[in-house]
Amino acid sequence: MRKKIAVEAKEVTKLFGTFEALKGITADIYEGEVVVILGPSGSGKSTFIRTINGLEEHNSGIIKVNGTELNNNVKNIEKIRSEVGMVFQQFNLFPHLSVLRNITLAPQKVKKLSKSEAEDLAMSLLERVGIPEQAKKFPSQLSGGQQQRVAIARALAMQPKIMLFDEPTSALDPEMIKEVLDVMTELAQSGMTMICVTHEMGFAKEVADRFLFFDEGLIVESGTPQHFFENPQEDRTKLFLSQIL
Amino acid sequence: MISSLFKQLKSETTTRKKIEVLKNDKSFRKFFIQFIFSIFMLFFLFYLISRAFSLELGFGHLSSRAGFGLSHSFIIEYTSNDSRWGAYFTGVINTIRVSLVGIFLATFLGVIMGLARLSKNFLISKISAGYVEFLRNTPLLVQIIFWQLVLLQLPQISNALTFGGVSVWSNRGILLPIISSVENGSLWVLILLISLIVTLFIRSYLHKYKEENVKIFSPNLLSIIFFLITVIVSYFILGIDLRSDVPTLEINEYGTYIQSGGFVLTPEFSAILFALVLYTGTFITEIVRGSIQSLPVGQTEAAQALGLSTYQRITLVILPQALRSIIPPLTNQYLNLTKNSSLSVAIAYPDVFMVSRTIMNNAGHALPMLFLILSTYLSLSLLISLIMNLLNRRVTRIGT
Amino acid sequence: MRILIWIKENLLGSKTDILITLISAYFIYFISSLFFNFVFTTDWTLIQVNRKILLVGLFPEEQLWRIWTVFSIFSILISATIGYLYKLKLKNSIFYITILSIPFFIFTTLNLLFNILIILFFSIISYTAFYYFKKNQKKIISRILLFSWIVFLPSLFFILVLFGGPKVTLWGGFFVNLILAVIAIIAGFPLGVFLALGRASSYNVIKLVSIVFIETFRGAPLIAWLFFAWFVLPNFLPNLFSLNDINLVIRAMIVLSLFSSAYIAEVIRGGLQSIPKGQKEAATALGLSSIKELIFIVLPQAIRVVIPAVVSTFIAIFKDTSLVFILGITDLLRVGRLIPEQQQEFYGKSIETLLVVALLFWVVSIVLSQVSRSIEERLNVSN
Repeated sequence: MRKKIAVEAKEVTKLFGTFEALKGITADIYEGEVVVILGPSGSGKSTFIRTINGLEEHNSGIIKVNGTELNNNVKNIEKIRSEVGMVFQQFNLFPHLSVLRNITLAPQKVKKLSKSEAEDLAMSLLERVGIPEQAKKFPSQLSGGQQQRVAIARALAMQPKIMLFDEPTSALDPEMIKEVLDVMTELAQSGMTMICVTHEMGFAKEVADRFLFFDEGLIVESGTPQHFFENPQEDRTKLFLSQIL
Repeated sequence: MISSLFKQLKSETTTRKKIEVLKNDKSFRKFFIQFIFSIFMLFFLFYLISRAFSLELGFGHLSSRAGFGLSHSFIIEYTSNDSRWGAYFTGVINTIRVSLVGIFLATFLGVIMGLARLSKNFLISKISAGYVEFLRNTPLLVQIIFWQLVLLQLPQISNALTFGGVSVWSNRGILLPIISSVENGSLWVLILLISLIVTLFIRSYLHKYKEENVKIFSPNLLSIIFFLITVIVSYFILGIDLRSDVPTLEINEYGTYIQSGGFVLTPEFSAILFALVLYTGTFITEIVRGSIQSLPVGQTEAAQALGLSTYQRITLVILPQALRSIIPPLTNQYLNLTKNSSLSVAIAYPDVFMVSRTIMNNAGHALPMLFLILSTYLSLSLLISLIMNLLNRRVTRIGT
Repeated sequence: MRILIWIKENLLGSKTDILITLISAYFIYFISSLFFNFVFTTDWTLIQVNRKILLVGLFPEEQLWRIWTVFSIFSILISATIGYLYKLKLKNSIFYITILSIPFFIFTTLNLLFNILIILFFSIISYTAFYYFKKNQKKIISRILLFSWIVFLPSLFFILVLFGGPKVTLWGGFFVNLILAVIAIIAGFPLGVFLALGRASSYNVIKLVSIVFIETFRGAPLIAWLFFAWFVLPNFLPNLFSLNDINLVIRAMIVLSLFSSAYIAEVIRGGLQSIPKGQKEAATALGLSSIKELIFIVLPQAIRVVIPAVVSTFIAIFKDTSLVFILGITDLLRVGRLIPEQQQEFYGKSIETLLVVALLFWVVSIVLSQVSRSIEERLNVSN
């Protein structure tokens, strides 16, 4: 049985002024797949996942999320954003709202959930990420790892079908990386479609179904983790792997 | 994305579907909102313009004879027979005069008071604090009137205070001795100021070239030579004849006292100047204090550890770094000072605003005059901002 | 012993230090003797006689209850808000009491004393009530407070004007300055928020209009705009409701509000820019529309951050109200200048009246700046 395609990208380009960040990305990501994107900095990894939910507007090419095309149609954009959740490197929690409120705000205001429904949902998500006792606290009172877990809960509260992770552990102190990766692993095992930009090779090897190696705005190589680590084809891939391993 | 919009519109068959597509298009929505907004703005503008026609418009009245005298004119001689443009221009010069002097003095005062505030000496620190708290919270207009009243308390000319025969203080003003020239004295001073500014620019450009390894011999020396050349050349061309000018007091045949010579600080000019300097000085004090306090403590400690004296520490380490954060808010204060000089209308110092007011009284045309005032102050603000911006760039340049 | 050590360190550190200390001491002595000499040897009866005119101008005696009402409600609301927001520290309280007692002693007569004491009494009750109830019923109390403010501010005007209130031409004195400042801020703040949002918006037309508005009003001195209100504004107002005939004071209010909104817009723009871009991206990713993002994420934070700057803008506007003097409006400054000129027995006593005028302005400004400082401290602590 052919799996459904969650995210379809065809010849996607993105220009920043005269700089070509994406020179023509073509990739299909299937439902339930966990895809890890690797590459040197400036290769377009973050730019690519930010085009998927419209944070960056792509200049040409086609992006489809669960069949809906990402174009200038406001309704399409709204639909896609409700199906795609995102976790940022800098967490981006709302500092003036409590942890609970951070999570319930969007469900209440966008999905029109009632206050009690939203709070129940939020508490169950906080349990899932392991910090239900922090509900009434404010982001500044939490450690980095806890904040990022709240950010994941916040994204999950909108019940997305696809989760994007933009270097979620890069801003964390080493002792807190594991707690966040554990949450992400559990999420992957529950069947969520995930696209992650990360440098955490251990995690990637364990959890990813497929790797995409970006360099200078193009996908240089893609394949299973086994393929990557044992049998990389391209020279640039080999060079990158030698630098990070 | 506009091409894709047209493609989509073509692909839809019914009109209703076409409108649906249009309604949901991001760029169209943006355009539409701005379009509606512009329509409203245009209606509003149209209303204003139609209303404006009932007022007197046009600047023609400014070419006719002014018919009023001005108590202060500087550089150019103004009489009531000159055109109103002449009066306006004199006003502009008066504004620049009090603003420029005010800016220099206020900066000087502000820096000193700012440093005083941070001093370990308890008394001077409290004096500075008191200065700021008292004069910052009193309206400027009140301070201007206060100084005017105080200066009017000076004795009548018949009982004027004289200081060692070189200065005369009365309610007609303060006379100070000065070195001046029989002819073109003020013009020469103006030329000196302009050439000083140009010299500084030349110096910075020469420095820049030197950094880019163009062979230039000592930019500083060249700039000084340039400055001296302009000074000497203008000296001779204008026929400057420098001599000391000591104020004197004489009684003429009608028993009237005449004061002559020297440099006159009229009560009006002095009142405006004192008030502006003292008031703006409080804000500059706080800016300087804030900037210095925001520097890491380590700077002071390092300077002290190196054995620098207090004076060296302040001038070589602290102030240069504080300058980086001082310039933007300082520029703001300079703009405020220039705009505040318009308050001289309350005490009859003929700055550009007061002159405009007189013209409005005599010849109406309020709206064009207000437009002129707006342009004048905007131009002055732009000029000050530009100069300060260049200074800012120079100060925040990494290296040198 | 400790005092001697302190003196040595702080005043006599080095040779220059000693010199500075001597000069400063002499300076302080000089200024204080000048000041106290003046204060204690002049005759202050002109203030006693003119108390009312200085404070409220020609407001008719029998209508003064309106001002008392407004003042009392305002006082009670402020005390309630203070009680709700925080506990007054002893040091600050002493400061406020000392400063406020100066005009109190100058201006209060036995008649007024009674009214003032009653207002004081109710204010203290209101403060304590809100302070204690905040602990239990925070949400209800905050709603009551917010509601009261929203209702009070517009009704302020009605209390003063409706049902045979004195014509605006009779308003005068310190009261005029206060009203002008309060109205300018109340009207200027929302307009300023809109301008700031317009300035930051990606809709280029709206951005352009905002920039033009802000730079035009900031480009000319306030006095020029007041003259605009005087000579030119009536022409632009529509003929309905004989709006083109309205009083100069109201026109000054309009122009002052527009002027303040330009400055407030710049202050708020600073606050908007201080919100990290990432938060807006997170809001977008969650599906919050731009408006919702604005209301729930951006504005609450931006406004909280710029409150100290807004308060200092308010202080500046309050000081700027003295400019209506030049228009001939009988504000505190004009009354202060007219008294020595028009009242025979006090001829020539200009400096005395000017000092009292300065004092009133100064008291309000310094109280407000202390408030601003306390707010800033609290904001820094909570961050």
